[in-house]
Amino acid sequence: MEVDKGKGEAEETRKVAEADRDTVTLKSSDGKLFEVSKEAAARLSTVLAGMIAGGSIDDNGTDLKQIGSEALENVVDYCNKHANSIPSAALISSSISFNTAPFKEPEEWERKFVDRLSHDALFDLVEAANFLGMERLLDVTCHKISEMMKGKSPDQIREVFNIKNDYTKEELEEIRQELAWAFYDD
Amino acid sequence: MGISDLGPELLDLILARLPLRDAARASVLSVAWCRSWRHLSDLDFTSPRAAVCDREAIDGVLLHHAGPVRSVRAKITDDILPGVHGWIEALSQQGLQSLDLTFTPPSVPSSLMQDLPGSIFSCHALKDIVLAGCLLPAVPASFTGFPSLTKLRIKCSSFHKGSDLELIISMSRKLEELTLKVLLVAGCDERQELRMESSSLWFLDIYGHINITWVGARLPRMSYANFADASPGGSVVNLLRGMESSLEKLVYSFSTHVPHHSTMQRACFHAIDLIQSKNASYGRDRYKEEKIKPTYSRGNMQI
Repeated sequence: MEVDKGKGEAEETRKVAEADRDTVTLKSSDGKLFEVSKEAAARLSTVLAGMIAGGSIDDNGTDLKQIGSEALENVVDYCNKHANSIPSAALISSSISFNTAPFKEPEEWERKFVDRLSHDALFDLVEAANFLGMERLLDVTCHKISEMMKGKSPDQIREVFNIKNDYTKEELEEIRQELAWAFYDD
Repeated sequence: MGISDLGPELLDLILARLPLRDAARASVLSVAWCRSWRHLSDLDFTSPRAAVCDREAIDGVLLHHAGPVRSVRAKITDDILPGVHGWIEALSQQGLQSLDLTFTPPSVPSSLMQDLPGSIFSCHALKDIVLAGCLLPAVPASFTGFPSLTKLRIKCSSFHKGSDLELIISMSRKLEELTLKVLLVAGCDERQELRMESSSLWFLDIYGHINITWVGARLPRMSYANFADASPGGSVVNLLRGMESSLEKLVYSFSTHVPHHSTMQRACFHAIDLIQSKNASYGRDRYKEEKIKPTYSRGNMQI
């Protein structure tokens, strides 16, 4: 949600700013401003939580120089959607069957949220989530990418993600031998 | 940007969500992916698409792994059995925290079960152990417990000596949750009389001991116990006595065909009385209403 307000609304925003604001304004690398629920930002991002607690939030827009406007818009959108969604029992439940598998399946809305993204937007969002310490968003985006790779041959994966094979023939042969077990049925 | 620009740490996060076989195959995509699976800390050889549960595969993975390995889950079939000793030996040096091994077929425990290698006792970082269908190695004289172990689940398995089980429980001083199902002390015709002692256990799920009787218990922190049918009646009574002071929830399933049934029932009612009287003296708010109401349903008694 880009902040693009009329005069009256800007006046209103200043008034709110004087009181205790319940949103924070974030500024992307290309200078665009986005407003996000303070509660959701603090809950979902360890970095933003630290900045809010440490008082290093700038009311005129906290600079996030590493994040472009498209990725930041998605981050803000995710936070606001998260603030409005009621987490399912699966997310709340702390029971973990195998203590090394703490990842919980994406919620329906999270799935839709990442499904609509282009590849580039998805990768940018992974980096933004990583930079901001947003564990859940990082989980959901990495899960989406892994779903796109699952069960595909290396050639198919290269095609999907436009990966250029920069190995020499010899290097490739060496790796395939080392991992012979993974290539049995090729 | 392309996917390969994400950098090795983020690529690792993506690979960690893939079946092991897919993660390994990603090595050939491009140079950026060459380290791929070598850094995965959770190795699950059982996932449906893993198709790697053969000896060569597991050898290959562990041999080329950059470590540390946090968790391993595998099904051990006859043809890969000879490798198990070396793997556990290697993993004990890698800070292994979670081990889940199912030896097949894990139907009923017998003296013919496959040996779990003794090197498991040198995996000092283990926090979580799940074992099924194996003969546990004899506890070495130098064993001082698994110092970090909090969860232990053993199913359809056997022991050389009953005291091995006693020692693992009592010496692992952080052990909190214990599940023991269908266990046998190998090569013994007589019932083995064991004691269960732990000052850290709070959860116990137990049934179906073939020739083990628990004759005593000291479990001062036990708050949740789940007993089922096949536990010999005497065991239930004796275990309950050892946890009376702290027990908050008891789930007890039984059928009236089991010998000692009435003794078990009496012991359970005694435990209910204790929980209820404790509740009265500590004030009602300490326990939820449903926890203290004994209820019957199809041979199931829950407090």
